[in-house]
Amino acid sequence: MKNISLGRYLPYNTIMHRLDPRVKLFGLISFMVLVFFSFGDVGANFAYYGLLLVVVFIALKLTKVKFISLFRQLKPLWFMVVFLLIINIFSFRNNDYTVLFSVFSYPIYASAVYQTFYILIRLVLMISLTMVLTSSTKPLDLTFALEWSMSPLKLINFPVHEVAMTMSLALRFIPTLLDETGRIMKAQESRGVDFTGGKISEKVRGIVSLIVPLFNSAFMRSDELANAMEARGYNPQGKRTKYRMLKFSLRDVIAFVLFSLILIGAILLLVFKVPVLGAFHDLVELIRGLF
Amino acid sequence: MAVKFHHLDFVYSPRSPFQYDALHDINLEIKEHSFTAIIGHTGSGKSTLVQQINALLVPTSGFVSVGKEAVTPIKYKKYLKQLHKQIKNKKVSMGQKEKLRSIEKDLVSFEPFKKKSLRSKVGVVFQFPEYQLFADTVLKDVAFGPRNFNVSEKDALEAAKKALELVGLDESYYERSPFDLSGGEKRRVAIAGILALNPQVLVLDEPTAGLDPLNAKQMMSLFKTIHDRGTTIILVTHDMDIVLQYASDVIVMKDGRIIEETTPHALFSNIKDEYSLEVPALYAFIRRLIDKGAPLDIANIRNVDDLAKALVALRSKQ
Repeated sequence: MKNISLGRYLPYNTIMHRLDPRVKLFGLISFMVLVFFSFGDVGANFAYYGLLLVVVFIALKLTKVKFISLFRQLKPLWFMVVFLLIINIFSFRNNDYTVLFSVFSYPIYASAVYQTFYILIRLVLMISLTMVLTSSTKPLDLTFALEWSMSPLKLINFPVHEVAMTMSLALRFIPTLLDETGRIMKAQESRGVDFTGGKISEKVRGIVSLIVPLFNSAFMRSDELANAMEARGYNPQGKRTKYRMLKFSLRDVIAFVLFSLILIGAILLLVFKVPVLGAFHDLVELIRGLF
Repeated sequence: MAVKFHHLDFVYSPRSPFQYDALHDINLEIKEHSFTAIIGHTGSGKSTLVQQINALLVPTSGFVSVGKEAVTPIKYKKYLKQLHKQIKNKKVSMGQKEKLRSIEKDLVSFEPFKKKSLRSKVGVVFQFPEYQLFADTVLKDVAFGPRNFNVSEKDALEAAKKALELVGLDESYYERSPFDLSGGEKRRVAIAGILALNPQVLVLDEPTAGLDPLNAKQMMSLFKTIHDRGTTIILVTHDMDIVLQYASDVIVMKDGRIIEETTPHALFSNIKDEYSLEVPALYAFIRRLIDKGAPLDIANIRNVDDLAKALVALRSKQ
């Protein structure tokens, strides 16, 4: 339970923190789209991802995210990357048969390695971007932003407010449930359960003795919460005002325009294969030629 | 089995932004067969203190001993070495060294603890223990504890039946689901789950919280029965009536320190403002009677029945 730092809000006061959550959400989504672009050409792709890495690095710096906590999040990825690499090596299907090197006369194709590398870098970028958002935005602000951006769905009778309320309640109860888990663990440990060591059958028994009470209390809590909300006249269909109003400031508008331009620009690059990327490619070839 | 604290400090999440010093230099002996009440404000460190006894929380420095076993911050031998090193270190202040030396001196006469054996000796009943119930029948839930200590299934069920009898639940409860019981019954089942381990030291963290007066009274007389059979009882409570009626010793805590070790009688006869305690109504009443000239022995009157008997005896004498 010590490693739950992904998505933990960091109470600083940086530009990122002051930005409107809706703009940040838009920014996250557009960058997520950018992360999945592929230009089909190794050199261009590398240049493109390099650029994105620089942007994300700046964003992380601006948000004051500690890189140690980012690396801690990335640690479990190693296993996945190795796994992907093995699969890619054996199930390679592409027209590019450049052999990078051979292991016991089994050819390792360059594009298999590149593919794995792309996936790795995409994951790293995505996790970093999400971290920028969650560590600079309070969970409640985030749900406001989600509710706001989903509001057009109201036209097709999608229960936007209910979904947003459910989300904010779920976020609110994460720490409570963690406390509860700690309490029940201690109670069962004093009944002789060993959560850290012991045989597998003992461990399974221990986990059952943790999960059942946890579910039980979670259901009880939600029942009580529902009653408390109804007792105070909560009506999901009712028209509601907000205590905290979100307002766009000039800064938010500038950021919004910037994000949109980047997104549109990248799409244009992708669609028209603008020679700028060709220039990148030439540069890469040039460097490669030097060695 | 005596429980002793030796210069024990405890810090929650040390060296992090959430660091919180919960216990400071606790030195305390809880005597064998005593009924010790621990009182103090919310946040005074009562619950943190009792969790050290069966190593649910491990001290930051110093140690706690149960019988011959010592719960140390790190492994016993390593801790001895570390103490030795720190005592030789020139940077450590003299006062600190004095403390470390006394920890070392005490520690050598104990043995390293084993989690399982310690937890079979010390049973801890947490606040609202009914939240720990999980099995599909009452009997299975109570037998869960002994089963974890590698007791055979037959013996575990035997122990469970005995524990259930002790808490006053008969055979008709054995096959019922613990989730269908009333609040008071649930708590009995949960307490039976600890009693089935047959602990020599029973730690109770506010066992009567949230119970109706009748259930609370039955619960306390249950603990008295267990105490009479030779179990050491450590009771964390806010209820001064319970302290007056049952406790043999009282420990008053404030801000993570022990500010007084005393007996209920001595505590209530000379109450200090800083404790912000309320004298039990019964005690105040007896005091008034004595002030008016009734020759009552205040130390021997612990509940209303005692008082009634004493008054009857007094009248027959006159």
